[in-house]
Amino acid sequence: MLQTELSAVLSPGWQPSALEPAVDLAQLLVPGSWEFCLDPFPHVRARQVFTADFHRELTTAFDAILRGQQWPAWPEACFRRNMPGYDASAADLNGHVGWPFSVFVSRPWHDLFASLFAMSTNRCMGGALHHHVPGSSDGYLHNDFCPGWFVDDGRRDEIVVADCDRCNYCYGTTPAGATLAVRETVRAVAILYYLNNPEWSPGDGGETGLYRAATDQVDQAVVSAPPINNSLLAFECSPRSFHTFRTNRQPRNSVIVWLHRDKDEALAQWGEGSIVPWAVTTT
Amino acid sequence: MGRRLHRPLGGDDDMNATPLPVCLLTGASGRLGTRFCELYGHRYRIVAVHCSRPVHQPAEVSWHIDPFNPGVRQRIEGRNVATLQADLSDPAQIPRVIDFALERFGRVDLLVNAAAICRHVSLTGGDPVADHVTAMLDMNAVVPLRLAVELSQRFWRGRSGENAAFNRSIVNVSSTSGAFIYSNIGQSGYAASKAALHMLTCHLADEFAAFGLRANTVAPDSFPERVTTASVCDAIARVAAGDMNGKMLLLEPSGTSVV
Repeated sequence: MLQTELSAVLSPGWQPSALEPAVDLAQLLVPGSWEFCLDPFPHVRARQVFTADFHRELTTAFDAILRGQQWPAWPEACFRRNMPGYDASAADLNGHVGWPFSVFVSRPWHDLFASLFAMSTNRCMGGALHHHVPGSSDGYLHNDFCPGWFVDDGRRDEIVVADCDRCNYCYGTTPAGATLAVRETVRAVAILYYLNNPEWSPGDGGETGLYRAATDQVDQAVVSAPPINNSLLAFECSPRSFHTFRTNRQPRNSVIVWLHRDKDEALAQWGEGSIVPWAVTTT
Repeated sequence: MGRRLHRPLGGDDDMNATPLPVCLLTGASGRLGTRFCELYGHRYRIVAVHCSRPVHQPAEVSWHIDPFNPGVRQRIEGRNVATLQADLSDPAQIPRVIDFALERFGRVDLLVNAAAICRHVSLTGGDPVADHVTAMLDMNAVVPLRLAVELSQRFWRGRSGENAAFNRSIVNVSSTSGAFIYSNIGQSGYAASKAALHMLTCHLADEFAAFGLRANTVAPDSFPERVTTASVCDAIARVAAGDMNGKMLLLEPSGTSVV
């Protein structure tokens, strides 16, 4: 499929901007069918997502960043333990993210998942590279139906990537003295792509568990998505999308990306009080 | 347009290309059986055995989608519920059930005995107590045993490696009343039948281990009043997917525990 054809399918009228590197998913994705499932909540799973060549590009870049080396296309990328309550380190995607990770915050990638879940998203995206060392703790069941704050520069047709240097993603705070307009949104779709992991076997852990209720026991997931290289799990973020990370015996690496939607629309669908605020933290 | 080579995807947790496992489910038109078909009809090929009420064909909950054409959902072939009416209290029906399952799918990977009779009878009342208790012991304990033995003789024995490879097992649906005394609600016969089912399951686990087959019970509190029907279905699926053998999974509002 040519890029123009793909663009027409995903978002009629859309054309890549001059500043945005062209991303042609038709050249990067392995043709085939993915699985869409409503149980326990709407989610998509797929194996062999990207072509071998592109998957290799991703693993090379991820490995370099994980080793603390500078990746030329994204020189500032660096893993940090900056997620209170989440036993992992992360390298946050931002507006400077370069190839190959720029694919994950590209317009075609955004439009693909907005279409998969038939969500009215607002082109605000955030995400990170995640690394769990062996023995990382089980996460807690949560739904990701959380706020996400972005600098509001008036752009509505282009992808806006979270930029924590200018606007705190969780709370919307801006640097002292800055006069930035900010915009509160809500997570709409979460996408986890697994890469750079040892060959996975049952018992290795590191799965993403999906649950029916917040009170479910962490070891009793309805669906367990193992961290198998070049596979992905995506789900609609809602008050019901309870999920968590399962403790691991092997390193577990992934790229996670969120699409967002306007807060008013999220509240109109799920009601006041449905959005889960971030815990107040001093870190 | 680009290439459109559809690679097959299984729909189970392994998402591989192997056929879905086959589940022989009794009590398929009851509350639990109906919900199990709804929730797990996309993860198993189900032989749904029912008595009088028809089996509700579950709504589909998963589809293949083409990422380049996400608006079109394609049915995942190979997932279906095959129904069979049978009065399991008649021993002559047991071979017929097994015949049907094996002819339809060629294998049985999971036997879920969910058919049950629950009658509340007072030991001090005027009802024909012994008749009620006999009926419950037969349906709740002996029928699961008959099915397990018939399946072992017809299919599972002599397939040790295959049984282990497919993690084949029996999950018998018991009740917390088989483990605890609930006073003054007339559960003597029902409780005795579920306690018997648990002990029979333990012995099945012990003897069937010789050919690589597991057997366990899931013992929920009353559903949907005290635990959800979905949680019972999930417990059955988890026990089937795990490696537990000869145990009882108690499912109570406070959580689960293994006995």
